Amino acid sequence: MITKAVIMVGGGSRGTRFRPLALDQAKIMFPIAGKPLLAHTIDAILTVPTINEIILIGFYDPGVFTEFILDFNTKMKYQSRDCYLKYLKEFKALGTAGGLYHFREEILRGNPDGFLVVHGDIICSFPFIEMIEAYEKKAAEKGGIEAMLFGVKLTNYDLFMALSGSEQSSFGTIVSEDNGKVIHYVEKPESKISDIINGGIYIFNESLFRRLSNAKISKITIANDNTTFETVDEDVISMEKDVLHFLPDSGKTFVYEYKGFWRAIKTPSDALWANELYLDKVFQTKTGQSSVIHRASINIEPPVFIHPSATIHFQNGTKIGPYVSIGANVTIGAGTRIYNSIILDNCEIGQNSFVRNSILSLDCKIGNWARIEGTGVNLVSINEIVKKNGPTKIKKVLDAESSRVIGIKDSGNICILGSGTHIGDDLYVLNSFILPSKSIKDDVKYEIIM
Amino acid sequence: MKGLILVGGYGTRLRPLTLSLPKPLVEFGNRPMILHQIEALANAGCTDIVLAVNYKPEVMVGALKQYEKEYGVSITFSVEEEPLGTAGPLKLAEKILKKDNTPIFVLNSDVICEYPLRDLLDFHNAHGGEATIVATKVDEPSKYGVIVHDRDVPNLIERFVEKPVEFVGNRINAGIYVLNPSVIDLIEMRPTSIEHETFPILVEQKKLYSFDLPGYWMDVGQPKDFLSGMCLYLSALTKKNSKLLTSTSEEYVNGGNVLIDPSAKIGKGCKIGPNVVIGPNCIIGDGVRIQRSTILKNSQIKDHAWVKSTIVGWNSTVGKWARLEGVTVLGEDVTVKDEVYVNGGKVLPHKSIKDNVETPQIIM
Repeated sequence: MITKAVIMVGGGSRGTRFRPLALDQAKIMFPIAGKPLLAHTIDAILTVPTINEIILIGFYDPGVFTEFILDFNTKMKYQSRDCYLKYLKEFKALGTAGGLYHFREEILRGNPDGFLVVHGDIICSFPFIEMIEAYEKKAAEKGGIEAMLFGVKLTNYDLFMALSGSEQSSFGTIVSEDNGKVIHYVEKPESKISDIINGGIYIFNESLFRRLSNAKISKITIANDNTTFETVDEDVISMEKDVLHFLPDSGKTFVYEYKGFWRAIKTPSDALWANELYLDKVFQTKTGQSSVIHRASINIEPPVFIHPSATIHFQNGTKIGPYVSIGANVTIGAGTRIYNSIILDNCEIGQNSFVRNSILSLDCKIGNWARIEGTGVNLVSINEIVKKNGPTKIKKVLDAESSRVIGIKDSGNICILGSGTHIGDDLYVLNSFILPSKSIKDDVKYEIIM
Repeated sequence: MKGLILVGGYGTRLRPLTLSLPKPLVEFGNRPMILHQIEALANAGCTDIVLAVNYKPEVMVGALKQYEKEYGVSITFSVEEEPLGTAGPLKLAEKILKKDNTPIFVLNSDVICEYPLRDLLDFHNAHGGEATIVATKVDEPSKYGVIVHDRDVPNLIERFVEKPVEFVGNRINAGIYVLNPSVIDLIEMRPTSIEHETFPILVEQKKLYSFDLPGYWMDVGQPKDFLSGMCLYLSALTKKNSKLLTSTSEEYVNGGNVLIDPSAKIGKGCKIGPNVVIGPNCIIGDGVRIQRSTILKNSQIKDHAWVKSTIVGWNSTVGKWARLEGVTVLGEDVTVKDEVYVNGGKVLPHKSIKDNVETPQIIM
């Protein structure tokens, strides 16, 4: 029985690629569709009834999670659900698997038959129940297996790679037989080897730690070998290079194929994709906080999340949606239009303003007749481009789009206002990043404002 | 009294507007540009007005027939077979212009100012020369031909300096003249320039004077200057407490200098001004912001749109939450879709704009 889940929350890189939003809060706690990124993962894990312990491993300051963990454990108690959440902080950034090795005793306590390992920065529909069933079935069939990998089968490989940008195209690739047996794993291949990529979710068992300790031993050996000039940090272990790479050799690792939406959240523009995907999911399945998911009306084009404490003046043709998340205590003036955007807590937006493809961090203040606009593509517009140009030309189209970006790598042509940004009346902010606590008095186009 | 208005060619500099209507009929401050000059000439006592044109569109003939009646003047088209420059048209229209001995006003149709033609005439009659040039002061005289005066005789022109490198003065030729009929005898029947060929003769004869133009002056032949000229014109109306202007006590008027035709409809919660002209039958939606722009007749600006430094052509539609700026010019019957941004777009007639136009460009 699978009773434990481990979420690798990261924190080692200080979220440089998630700036300027990472300056306001930890990426993993960034709210999407009304709750932190982490909560989406945890809520999905809770759908597995046998899970009774969730362990967060990472390098963030524990304060980042204190309140969240306290709330969670209280809620579980109140709901009589036997599940406990805790955070284990690495003594230094230990890589994608070093934390698992370091906290092996915590993970193995109670002798679980197996445990889930999930990377905290991915979003998808998390079919944990199905994956666990597949694992247990395969284990029974084969008399025990070593691991099951969550393989994302790409329906449009070219589109996915084009959308992932230069750095994101470096995914692990899984090659498997028809029965699901993994026969080859390559990290960051330069060419297309398979259309199944590593989705960052695994089911492991005790045998993982043999591999981790082997990796550890070989690192120590290299580190202590005076005959080479190679420098190795013996504490850092890579899941991809030190574990997954060797798994196919034993022939006891299988893949769970998944075909739904999937994305790794690296940059702020990924957060907008996550917002779009999660809002669609919540709206279509009518799960979660249905009271705050609004129905279509003259003012609302769903899916839209509006926190109950937000004040929206629905006069004069105010129009919100689709794909808008509005946080607590936000005020939005009459005649304002917002779509495909995330508005965090305590923001104030004036009248007759326009916000599109943008993220407004906490406490921003926008005047009347202001326009905050990203011109980037979202999923809806991607589908239109694919329809118009055919799937093979997508990369060309997207390159043409992104070549218009000036000075902002990975920006995806969106607008981000750091916390406490003030934008005056009548101003236009186009495809720009504004760092926290700035007062903007002139139009800003394709700029980063320090 | 007689007047000649130099209209010239197709007004290509004011395209895309002039693709739909001859330049003299394009409304400036809600009245056809040529009407500002015809009215000034009529008020100064002119009975015969000659329009010097390269071509003669039917639509202009019809419009001017109406003005003849309105102002009690006779308007004649003098059509040039080939462009005759700035002096040739005077020779061509000699018959009318020399029919009596009264002085002749010559106006450039692109120029907008207060037209103090009576004062100009008094000045002309007083100095006893053959011709008077109206002079306006500019900030950067190095871009123009500058007037240099005689040291002893006030207002007598001693010479012209083209694009002076050193400062010799800041008065330039404003494109408005009064001439005695005899000046026409100095002009040959061929393409000639009054500035470069006729005036130098008068300078030599010490018979050319200049008159300082009070108030504003602007050549409004291209969109950027059309808008600057509009601001000057509206400011002048404000100074005169003109009844034409929309009262600043209206809730939606912001900063004054707003001229709205009474037949236009303005929605709730708008903020309009400063420096805005809105033509007849325009419909402005709710929560619309307009500054420094001209909206020509029968156009519609939908709710929450934002318009600055823009000319919206006739029968055009600007969508909800659209944003126009940067000397955007919409031709006739152009549609800008909801939420679209246009910066400095020159949009030809009957086009529909669906995507943002981030940088100034022509949209065919």
